[in-house]
Amino acid sequence: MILLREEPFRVAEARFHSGGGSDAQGLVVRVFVRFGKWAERAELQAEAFIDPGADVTTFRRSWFGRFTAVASQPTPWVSGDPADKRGRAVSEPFEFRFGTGPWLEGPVSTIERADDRDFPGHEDILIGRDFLTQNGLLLVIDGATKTYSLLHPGDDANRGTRERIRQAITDDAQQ
Amino acid sequence: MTATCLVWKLGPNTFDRAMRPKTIQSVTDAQAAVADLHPSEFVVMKGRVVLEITSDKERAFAVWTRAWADGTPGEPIVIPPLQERLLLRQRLAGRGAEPWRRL
Repeated sequence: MILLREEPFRVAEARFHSGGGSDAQGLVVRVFVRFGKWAERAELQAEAFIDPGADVTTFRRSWFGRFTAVASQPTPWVSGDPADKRGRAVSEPFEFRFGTGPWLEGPVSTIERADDRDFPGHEDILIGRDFLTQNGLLLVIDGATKTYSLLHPGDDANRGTRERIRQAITDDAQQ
Repeated sequence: MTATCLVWKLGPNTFDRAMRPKTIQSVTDAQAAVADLHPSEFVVMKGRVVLEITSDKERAFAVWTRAWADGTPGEPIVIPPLQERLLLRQRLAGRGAEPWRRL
């Protein structure tokens, strides 16, 4: 199963900062998010930046504010150390869905940032390496065509792709 | 802003006083002090007021949820057990913690 097939590099449609440059293209994709309880388990849309350089998946708090009509409280469950200003843990389980793909469990290490100035980029969510590893996803970035793909492991074709890549790397290392 | 209010009498300075960083800092200090006394439990607070101290995560967040709508000012917080707090700090590394790389 291919969750994202050759998506072009692009920038977020949702802009919270003025002066966002159009040259800041990245692995930006529209995702659906569903929390365990918050917002009545509605399927919420968000702009997400898939960032394999980020350790943890991060939500922008102001994004939660868009759903006051369907949510009885301002945010899903968050908890934190009062002395730590860098972020709070999202303690409520949640899931991501890309397009028509399956729901994938969000990582337990996810945090939220209350201050937009601390959020890296213009997107609503930063999808970090914790999500990719937890779900065993294969992220393929093609710099030549400025496209990327996200492959789910529960598929024979994807497992074959992964094995071919690993075999090619092994062969190169042995030569 | 405080000085402006005092000189030009634009309004009561109670708002400014409430927003002073020193006040915010003292609230977080008070919350941290309470949490340090209960390192293995979830502590739910709103400002300086302790709402619940429990080892039941579901109960802690039920109290936290109700606290949003109880009509008193301030934002409720759930302070998790010390072990989880340390875990969060250790994992806050990488690009997600370095916004200047993309802003």
